[in-house]
Amino acid sequence: MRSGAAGMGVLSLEIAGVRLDLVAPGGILPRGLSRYGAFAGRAGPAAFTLLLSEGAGPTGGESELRVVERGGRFCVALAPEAGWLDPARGTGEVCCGEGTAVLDALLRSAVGAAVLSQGGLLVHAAAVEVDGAAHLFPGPSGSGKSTLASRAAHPLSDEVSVLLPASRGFSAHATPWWTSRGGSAPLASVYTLAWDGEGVEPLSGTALRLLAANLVLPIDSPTNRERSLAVAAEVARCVPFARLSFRPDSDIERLLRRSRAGLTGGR
Amino acid sequence: MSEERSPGSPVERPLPGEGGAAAGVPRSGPEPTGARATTPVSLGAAPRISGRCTWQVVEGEAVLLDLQGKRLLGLNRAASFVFPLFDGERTVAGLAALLAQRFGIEVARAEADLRAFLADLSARGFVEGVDR
Repeated sequence: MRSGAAGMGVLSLEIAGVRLDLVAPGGILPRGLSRYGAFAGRAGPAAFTLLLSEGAGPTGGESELRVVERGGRFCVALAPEAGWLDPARGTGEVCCGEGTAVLDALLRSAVGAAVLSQGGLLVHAAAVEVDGAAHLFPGPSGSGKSTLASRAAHPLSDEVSVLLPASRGFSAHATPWWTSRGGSAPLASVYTLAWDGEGVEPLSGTALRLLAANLVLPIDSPTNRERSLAVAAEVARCVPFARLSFRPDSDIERLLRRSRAGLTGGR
Repeated sequence: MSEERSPGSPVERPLPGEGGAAAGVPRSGPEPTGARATTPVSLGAAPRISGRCTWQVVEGEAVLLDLQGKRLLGLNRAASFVFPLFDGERTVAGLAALLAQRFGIEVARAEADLRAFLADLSARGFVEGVDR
């Protein structure tokens, strides 16, 4: 954190290349921002600047913190008074008195909007880096994403990952939602997770269905659905798709190294 | 009907929840359609893809996404072959002939499968123009 004008505390973040500044007028950033530590970025022009306040905000679960667009501003549907973000101006205000849930939701939408505009995608997926290549595991809560990420030496994300177009295919980027040390790597393959043994099995279909079922939309709108599905199709065209089965004691890196060796010849 | 031969067995998957976090585990089997109200589809109808959905095909597999609701539909190979041909010009009879030729099945069977498929898609709002 650095000091801004008039005693303001500023936390500069960089998430998947998107620069964001969090500004605390009292100079003290709210508790609960530790997960953003790995994403502290360079100072400089920010795409989004959010002013944090200590007012009361909702503390509900993620499903209750659905972000919607009202009058050109993003806000939480059930508690619009708890914060807003203007995606066109790149400004916003968020109450963090009772936690960072609203801030998390608005930041995720801001990053999602920026990423989508670059031809990228937010997806409910864990991502793991092995030998400089990213392996992506889309799935809903309870599918094993966090368990797998916790057993990897170099996890990028355990719940939400960013995919961005790269010079060759796509790259997978870490996000602060929910446990991550940051980082990114070229996307090597996409997997569906299973718990019925140990091994990697190449699948004949593509990852499109799996990616489409796990899209994270910045705002749920027809335009965003259409764009996100188109990006998911591009990703599915670029990388092989496989089924990864693992046990609690599996050597994830060994499995993924073996997987990469076996899958890369496919496309 | 095998998945490779019939367009009548689309596999439905739930969309992520409104917050994007509640995506369900994909179902492994075909969606039962018996309880769904369907529209009789004539052989002369010329179906067209609804503007209320978006779709993509990758390596012969189509995925349909409802732009307003919460439906995500993955199609099998035969359905993926025929879906992009719903242009409001080709008739069901003509499409069934193409299906029969492409997948080596009898025309009567292709017609029956296609009509059932279209009735289901129409009920879900993914196609229009099947009730003429």
